[in-house]
Amino acid sequence: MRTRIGNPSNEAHGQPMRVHDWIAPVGTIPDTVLTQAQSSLGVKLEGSTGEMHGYINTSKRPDGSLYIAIHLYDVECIDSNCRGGHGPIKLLVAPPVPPGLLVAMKATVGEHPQHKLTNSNAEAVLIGLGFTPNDGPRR
Amino acid sequence: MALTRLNEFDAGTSLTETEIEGEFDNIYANSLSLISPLTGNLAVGGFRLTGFGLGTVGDPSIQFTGDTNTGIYSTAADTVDISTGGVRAASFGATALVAAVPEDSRTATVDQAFEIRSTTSGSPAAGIGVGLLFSAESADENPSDFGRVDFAATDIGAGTEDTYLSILLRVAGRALDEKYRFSSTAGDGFAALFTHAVTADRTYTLPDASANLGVTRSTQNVATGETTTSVTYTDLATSGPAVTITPTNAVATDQIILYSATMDTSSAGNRSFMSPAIAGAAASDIDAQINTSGGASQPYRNSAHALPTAVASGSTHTAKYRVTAGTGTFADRRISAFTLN
Repeated sequence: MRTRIGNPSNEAHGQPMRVHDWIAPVGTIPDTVLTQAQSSLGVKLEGSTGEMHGYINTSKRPDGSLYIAIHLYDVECIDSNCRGGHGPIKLLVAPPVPPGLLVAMKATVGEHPQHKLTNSNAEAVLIGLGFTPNDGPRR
Repeated sequence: MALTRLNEFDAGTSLTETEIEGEFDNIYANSLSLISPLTGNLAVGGFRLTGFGLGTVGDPSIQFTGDTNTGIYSTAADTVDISTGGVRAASFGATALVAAVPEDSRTATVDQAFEIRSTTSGSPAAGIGVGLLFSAESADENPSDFGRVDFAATDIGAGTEDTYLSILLRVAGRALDEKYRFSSTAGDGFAALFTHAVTADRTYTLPDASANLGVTRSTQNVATGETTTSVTYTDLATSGPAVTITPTNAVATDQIILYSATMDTSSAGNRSFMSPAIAGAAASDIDAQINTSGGASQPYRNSAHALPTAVASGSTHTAKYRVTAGTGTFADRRISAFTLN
């Protein structure tokens, strides 16, 4: 798993976030990832309850593996008229996540046995999965 | 035979009736030899030469020495024809004809059969040209100028000459005025080819502004199925798709942007949005195509369009995504942009 600080997905607020990404095995279901990540980290990563601490992007790669990026907010926005378009849904600062929780979450969701993403090998792994320099994972 | 005297008369010679009649008959019979062939220029003294035979194309009435099939003749009353090499090269009568004769043997090349030349004794400058005037008769004018075709120069520099074709027409009785101009910026070959299979009258109305009539198009597609749970507009893992339009004419600033995707959300009632960040501005729900889920695994392909104006050349439009809740899935994402003017 790799951790970055910034806004690599060009989220509308333009504020830095904590972004944790890794590659899950073939067959991993995105909506299941959401459930497991929320449970493991104790945060809300979708908007159904009216407040959330971040969101998840996933991408199914050509070999069937699943790229997962968890974005955790570091800046709050509770303005229902915000140009970001979230309306009454409150975007809350995510609490600090101990490394142990991240490891546990990755273990629950699963990690692809060959595509192990780290800060040092990210470019090679992501290029191998077909991401371009303009894509969020490589920004 | 040439006219010569038949008898020699000396002093004291008695003239017989036969000799006198013979001399006169000789004059009558050979009088033409007094002027034909001429042995000097013929001055008609302000009078006319009349009564020429009509002649034929191969044996015209007025010929040039050594060239009996080239000259002036007449094929009909009120018509003057010119023959060159035994072929009618020009005719001036009820209809006029000018032909390049004798014909050449070309099969697939263009012959410049007719040249209209008008040089100047002055110093040529931009705007100099040569043209043809077409006239007929209107209710109050005879002749009446109906049209003119000019070829003129915008640049008369040595080795940099640029010319254009101008068509002048009359509108509402006004004087001939330039209505169409055809010019080219291509140094070699065609600048444009105009062709039309005419099946009916067609009217083409051009905008009252300089414009690029060719539509500039840009399209991008991302097939990868990707998800987000973001309730604010964001890139998916694979950014875009995005399109950049660079019109060849900077005046073309209005665009149409079309975008579509197969969209799905994880729970019934959740909505997913795809909206373009036009020229780098924030994406908005106003332009979004929106899908309300009927439940998980019920994808729909939706599409929408935006009509931005005053878009700067080279602007990029990037598709952005969000949902209201749950996980939104977006696949086969497409965006296209076209210039409109």
